[in-house]
Amino acid sequence: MKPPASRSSPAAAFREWRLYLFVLPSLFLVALFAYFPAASAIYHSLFDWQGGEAKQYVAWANFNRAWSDRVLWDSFVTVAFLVGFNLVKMLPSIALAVVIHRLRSERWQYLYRVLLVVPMLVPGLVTLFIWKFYLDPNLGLLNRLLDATGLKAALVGLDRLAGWGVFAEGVPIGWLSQPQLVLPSLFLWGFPWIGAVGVLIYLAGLQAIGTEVYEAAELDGIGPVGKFFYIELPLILTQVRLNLTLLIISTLQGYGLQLLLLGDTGGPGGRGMTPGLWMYNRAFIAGEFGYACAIGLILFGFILALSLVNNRYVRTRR
Amino acid sequence: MKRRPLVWAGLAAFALIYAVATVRVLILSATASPVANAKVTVRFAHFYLEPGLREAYAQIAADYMHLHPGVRVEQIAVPQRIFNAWAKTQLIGGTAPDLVLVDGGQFTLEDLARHFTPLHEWVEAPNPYNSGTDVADLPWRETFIDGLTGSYDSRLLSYYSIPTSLFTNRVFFNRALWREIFGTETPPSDYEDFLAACERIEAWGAARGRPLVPLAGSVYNAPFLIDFLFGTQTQRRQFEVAWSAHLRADLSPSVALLQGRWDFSDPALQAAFRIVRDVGRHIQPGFLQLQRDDANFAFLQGRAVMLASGAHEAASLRAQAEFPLGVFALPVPGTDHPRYGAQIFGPVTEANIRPAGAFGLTRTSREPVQAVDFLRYLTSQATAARFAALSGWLTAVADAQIPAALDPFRPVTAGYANGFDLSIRRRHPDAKRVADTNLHLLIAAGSDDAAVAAYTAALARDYPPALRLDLENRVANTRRNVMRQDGNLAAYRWMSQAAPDDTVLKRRFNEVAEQIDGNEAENYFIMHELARTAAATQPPARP
Amino acid sequence: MTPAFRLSLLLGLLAPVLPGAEGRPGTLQDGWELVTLYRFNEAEALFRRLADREPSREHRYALAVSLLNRQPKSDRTVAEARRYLTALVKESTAPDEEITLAARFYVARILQLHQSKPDLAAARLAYRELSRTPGGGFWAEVAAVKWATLHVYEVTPWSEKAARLAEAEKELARLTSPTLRKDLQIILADGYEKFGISLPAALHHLEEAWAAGIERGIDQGDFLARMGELARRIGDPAKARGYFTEFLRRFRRDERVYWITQKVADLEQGDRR
Repeated sequence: MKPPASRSSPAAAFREWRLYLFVLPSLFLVALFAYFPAASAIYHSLFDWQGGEAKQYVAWANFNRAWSDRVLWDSFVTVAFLVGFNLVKMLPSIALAVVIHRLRSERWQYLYRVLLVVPMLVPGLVTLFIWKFYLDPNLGLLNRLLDATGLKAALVGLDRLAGWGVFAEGVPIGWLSQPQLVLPSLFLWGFPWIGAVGVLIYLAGLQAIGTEVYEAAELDGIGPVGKFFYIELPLILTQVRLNLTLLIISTLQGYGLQLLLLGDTGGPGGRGMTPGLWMYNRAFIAGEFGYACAIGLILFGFILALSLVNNRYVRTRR
Repeated sequence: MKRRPLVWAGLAAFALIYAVATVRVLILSATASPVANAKVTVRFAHFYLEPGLREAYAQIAADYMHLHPGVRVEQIAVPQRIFNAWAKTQLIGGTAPDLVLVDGGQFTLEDLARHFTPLHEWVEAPNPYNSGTDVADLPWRETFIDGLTGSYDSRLLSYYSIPTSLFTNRVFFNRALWREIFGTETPPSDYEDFLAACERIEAWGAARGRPLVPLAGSVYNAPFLIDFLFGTQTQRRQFEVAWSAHLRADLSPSVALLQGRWDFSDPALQAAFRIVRDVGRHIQPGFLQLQRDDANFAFLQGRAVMLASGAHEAASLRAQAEFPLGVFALPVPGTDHPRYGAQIFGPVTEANIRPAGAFGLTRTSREPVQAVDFLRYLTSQATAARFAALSGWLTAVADAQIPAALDPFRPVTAGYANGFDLSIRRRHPDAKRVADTNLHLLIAAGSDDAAVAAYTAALARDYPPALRLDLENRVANTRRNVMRQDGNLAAYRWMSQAAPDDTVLKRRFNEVAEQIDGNEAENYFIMHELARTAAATQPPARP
Repeated sequence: MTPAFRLSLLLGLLAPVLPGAEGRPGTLQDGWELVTLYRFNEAEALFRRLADREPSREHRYALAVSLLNRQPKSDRTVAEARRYLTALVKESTAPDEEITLAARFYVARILQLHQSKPDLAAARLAYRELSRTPGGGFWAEVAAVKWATLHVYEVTPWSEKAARLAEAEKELARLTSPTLRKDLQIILADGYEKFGISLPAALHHLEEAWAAGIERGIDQGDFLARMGELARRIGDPAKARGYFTEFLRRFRRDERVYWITQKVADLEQGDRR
């Protein structure tokens, strides 16, 4: 008598072939909308292609050109600044998660979680437009605040001492129209930098910490700050690492923020030019779709490398 | 199995909704058109959703249907944002309307060749709807303001669209505020008056503690002023460096820069920088980060007295403004201006403005003859006048009567082509990017000399490499077109030999040969100069 | 339902979308029309079917030409086109036969234009040889025009251009086709003008080209304006006035109307003085 086939054997799988039909539609959609565009980008990066039907195979010419493209490499410098900014911007979310976690009342914890989630209903694009308005030199909230609090005068004074040539008496501050202020504006954007998703992810991690750990820490005389560094932070490092990876990827790839705030040239002096925005510029402004695909692949290479570094060196210990 | 009542209720609701929808569709399709049993349907699609335009097209379509019983004309208005994707899907699927707007630069060469019908035979015949007028015997193309040159595709050697409108640029102003400041509603008559007016507005606002700027500005609006004035200073230089004596503004300045025949220390360019700074100082601060709506907002809210924009904005500004709106053409310095006159040839012509609202005839049209007939009707003298009156937009038809409200927007044809700006007629995107990203240096606070010097230095460093890249791209594009035309040469050669009596084929063959030779020669000249100037060799002085 | 039945049902449903053994039938005329519509891939498929069915010289030539622009374009497809063209030349017994000449022309075009790294020196040589072929007809003459273009625009100092133009000018004597003579004269005129060598020579060639007839209406305005302006610059006001007046008569809507009207007035005033 033949022994029954194991549940995971190929024979068993073949017998249950009907089940795979349920997976096929999703697989097909993922292949069509996620993998096919990526494969197409790889393919077209080897061509001189203007987006129509006509294209000519040029092998590595696009990549050779990217190697000496100063704008592209300068944009990586810009994005390095943006990654640094975003690392700093992670801290308020972690701090808020810890604060909410330490609230004794569960009702208040719930209320704060709801308050965090409600703004998520506002589409991201609307938030960007609101920030663009805040940064408006004539009507924006930021300039009005600086004027009302006297900080503008302080900045003007500081400018005179330091010789920046950015802040002047009676001249509205052009946050996005002066090259020196482009990066600071991109840093300021999103203040107070509390991302609901990040806070909720950290909170979930914190809530997995057992109360006995805290009791043991109190017995050892560890104060609130110590609890954060010795208990909470190490135990949410998995979530931090996940967020860091996602943050790096989105910052490297992202260009929507810069496109909306600064236009397709990256703003005055091209200071806001990121690799993603340069890719957009090459494709849709210059019509160099093949070259844009090559830039996309270079960007992919960077993201992959950074993700590997992140996974290797941002260790989690339990 | 006993079904639950809820299931029956759901089915009943579904059936009811389906029945209502079906009946509604039947009623609508029966009553929508005065010609319910039309034998012929012509559909036209566009993305102009501005107030007045759809209504104008609808009225003209209705007039045409009354003239032609049995013909139905259907308008399809699609938002511009999705028009490109929508149109391409329709074209590829073979379900495109008979007439599709080709204005937005959304169609590539292959799209035009594959999906649109050349119109050269139609445009050479007179427009029958012009009979009884002065232009009754003129070829249809001659009845357009530009002679239809803007619709001619030099790569495909034919006309591929028929325009219906035209956009000129003007300065809108708040007449009420103007009267309050100046005591009169008369706009400035010359350039110095214009600058003086800007300064007066700023002083008036400062004296009353009211934040008021002379010119609303944005990355969309500022070029109407800046590029235009810049061009007045390169007007003479443009023709001095032209590689051909054809007297037309072309791309010669870009090669001339490589050849060293002008640079940024050139008096014309220095004057251009100064004139931009003159006016740029009076545009609302931070305009480099603002969009079109921001500028419109500032103007409509009374925070800016003037707004430079296109004629197509007039109707929507009139609808939204709570003050009386005035319009004037931006005055330019005369040839006797002490500072800027030396570089100017004379008044600037608007005869070279490319008309818009251009419809192409799709190859899948089932009624091409009727569709073209509708276009003829739409662009006849009488209908064009009606279109202008209904829509509030200028018409692309020459000499058509326009309402008095549009008179200020009528193109001024008496003049010379304006000079080049740093985008070199918007054909050099990388050069334009460099010019735009350094513009903040030119309008920075501080001394005029320092600002001009800073801008000059930045352009001298960054502009030539960007221009070279643009020219190299242009050369590559022309080379691609010529490669494709090689196929045409063989095809028309074969076909004209197979049908030796067919004069149309013979003519197409000659046109293709002429075009290839001409394009190649010009391309090789540009390549020659690119290669030669890479080695920094200077040309000998001209005879 | 048995598995066999299910399989047959699946195949039955898929049958209409499976590629057919044969594509749409067509003729050479259909194929060439597809080429004029820039539908090179479809043209290539059609010509290939025709060539597979009957490998006549016409079919193979058509296939080779369509391969030059088959998408995606690559050196591989261009090399395949070149093989077809070279074979057509090699097997020919009549050097003045239409397809032999056309094939030689397109081999030169491959060298000049279609391969990713053009070999202009080899192309010039190929054009030169083709232009010297006895009984070469149209293709020999168009090769002469191409040779002249490459010769004039080879990257050299401007000081050498006068000599190059003079050498190119000698090709005029070989051209019998009015169209090609006109094209060469435009190239010469451009060269004399762009390299700043001789405005009278430029004008002369433009006038010759004009007499032969400019096909593209849109360029006729440029011609008249250019001839008028060149005549004015070299001091022939009567000629200038004639060309400008003709321009104003034919191109009422052109952007240059105002300026040229002024020039005519200035020329007339100059006469009256």
